[in-house]
Amino acid sequence: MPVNQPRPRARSTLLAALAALITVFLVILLTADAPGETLRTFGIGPWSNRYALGNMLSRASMLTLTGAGVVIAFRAGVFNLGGEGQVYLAAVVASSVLVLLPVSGAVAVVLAAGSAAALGGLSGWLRHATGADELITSFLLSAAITPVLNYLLVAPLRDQNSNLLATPKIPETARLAQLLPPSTLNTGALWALLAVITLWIVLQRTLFGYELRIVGYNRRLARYAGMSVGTYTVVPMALSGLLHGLAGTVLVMGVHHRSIVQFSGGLGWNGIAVALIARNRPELIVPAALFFAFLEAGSKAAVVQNQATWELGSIVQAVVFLFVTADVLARRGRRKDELLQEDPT
Amino acid sequence: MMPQILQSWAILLVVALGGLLSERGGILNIGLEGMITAGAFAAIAAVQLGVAVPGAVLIGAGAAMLLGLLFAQFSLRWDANPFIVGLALNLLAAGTAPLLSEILFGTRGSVRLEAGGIAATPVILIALVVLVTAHLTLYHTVPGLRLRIAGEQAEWLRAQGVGVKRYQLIGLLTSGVLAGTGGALLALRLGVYLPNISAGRGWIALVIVYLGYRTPAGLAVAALFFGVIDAVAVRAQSVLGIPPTILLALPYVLTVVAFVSYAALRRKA
Repeated sequence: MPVNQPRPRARSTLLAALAALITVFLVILLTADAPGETLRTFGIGPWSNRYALGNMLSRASMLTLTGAGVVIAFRAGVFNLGGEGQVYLAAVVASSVLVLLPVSGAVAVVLAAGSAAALGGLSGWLRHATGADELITSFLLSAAITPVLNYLLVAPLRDQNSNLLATPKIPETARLAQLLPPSTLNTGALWALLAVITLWIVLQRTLFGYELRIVGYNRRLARYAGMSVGTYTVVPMALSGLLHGLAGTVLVMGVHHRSIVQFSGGLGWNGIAVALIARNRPELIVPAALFFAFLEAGSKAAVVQNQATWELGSIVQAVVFLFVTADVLARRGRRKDELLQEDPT
Repeated sequence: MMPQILQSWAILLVVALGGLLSERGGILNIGLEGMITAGAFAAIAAVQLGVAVPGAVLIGAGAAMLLGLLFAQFSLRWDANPFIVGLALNLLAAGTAPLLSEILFGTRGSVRLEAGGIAATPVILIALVVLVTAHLTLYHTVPGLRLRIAGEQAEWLRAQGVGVKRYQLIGLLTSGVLAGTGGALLALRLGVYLPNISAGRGWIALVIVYLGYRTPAGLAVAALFFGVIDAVAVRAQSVLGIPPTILLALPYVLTVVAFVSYAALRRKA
């Protein structure tokens, strides 16, 4: 079961983005009572005021973090499908630590991101130690931990004074500063930018990043060259978990100030979509994240009355996933040649 | 408890055999989870709209086959990465079912059949029939042989002038039919469509394919293990008093343990 590193082509990513837009249009047109008005809301809603704009940028910052997490795994030739669970785990760890213990925000960040890194790293280590495919184990571990976290939020950690299935709010001192009140945009956005810049430097300008890319390109070659393939399996998965964990931490310390049942849903899958649209290149993560944040914010503004955003989100992700690595526009003649030279793996 | 085990076994086995057929053709079908959802929803919707149960099973199978066709169109014709396409199918089914449910029945929650669930016996019988048919097709027919070669020695098949992708297409379509049948049987047996009804069965089925050494008979044995887990999980809730929310984690935990142990053992061997 070899994991082929997805290598989207430039024209495919543009087509995927276009297909995503068209899908949103179609669903809105099919479900809305006043399609023209709804489409207008979709297009300009996210930009119409500070509040909406800030919320969209805030969402983009978290998608940048998860997108970066997916990119670093992809570049090493491993596949982290556990993003959803890793974001959620970090969020619950951050909020419970801050609510239950007298610790500073920095300690909470380390513990939260560290727990997500451990969860991601575990899949990498299992792959290295036993050969169990990290694609499957990361998904299964994430799916296993989600019900446990749900349970913690509905029972032991629940705020008894609230109607929400949520933890109590974290102390004011541990909250990230707001950048554009009253929106949820917070200093976590700076973390996201810093993370992407660091990722670019590490991948392009360090020996670690160079070897990581070689392992991602061809594991056998890397092994012959004497590189520690195991290291480049475990560490990228752990770093991927870490970045997902940071997204979950920002979600708690910067946006909601508490954990709510299932509140992180979508950040993981959307992170994969962001990474693919960015063609696994760090410098394209931010624009890709902005695009998805816009799609999300626009649909939320447009269909807020019938609550179809979650379904719409999944369908848009699906359309992007379908098109983003596909070569829909390939010319028939050239394709025949390629077929004859299919690599004998 | 035995009927409970057998019925969980039957549904997992049918889905896993679907996973096996595309896997033997050389394509890992990550989209089983979405195909189960599609089959389950389409079957329940069909019954609600007046179709008889056998027809509803066929409609469920057909709905998931369409997903298989989509998979083939993107991964075989347009060279898309099969893992990403498989994920797309899961997300597509998860997003489309509630939307259709809203349009057809005015709810995005559960859709309950008035007549209740079907009996367990036909479910088990169908699984046995599928098991025997899959074995005979894979090992005793020319298309079955070619499907296996497509997954192992594609160049050899191509050298014989046989289209590899045609057999991979057949593998994906039957994969859809079987996963859809599994989903339809699951929902019809329960007598209800629930959001997230597949509950990881597609992933468990993939693990069953590996634990069963990629043969139908092996799958039948491996599926039994998970059938027992499924049945135990239902019991544990009432007997041990484990909160039902946490119990949802059990199949995933045991699946990952089984998958890792299998990988470790195979590496040692």
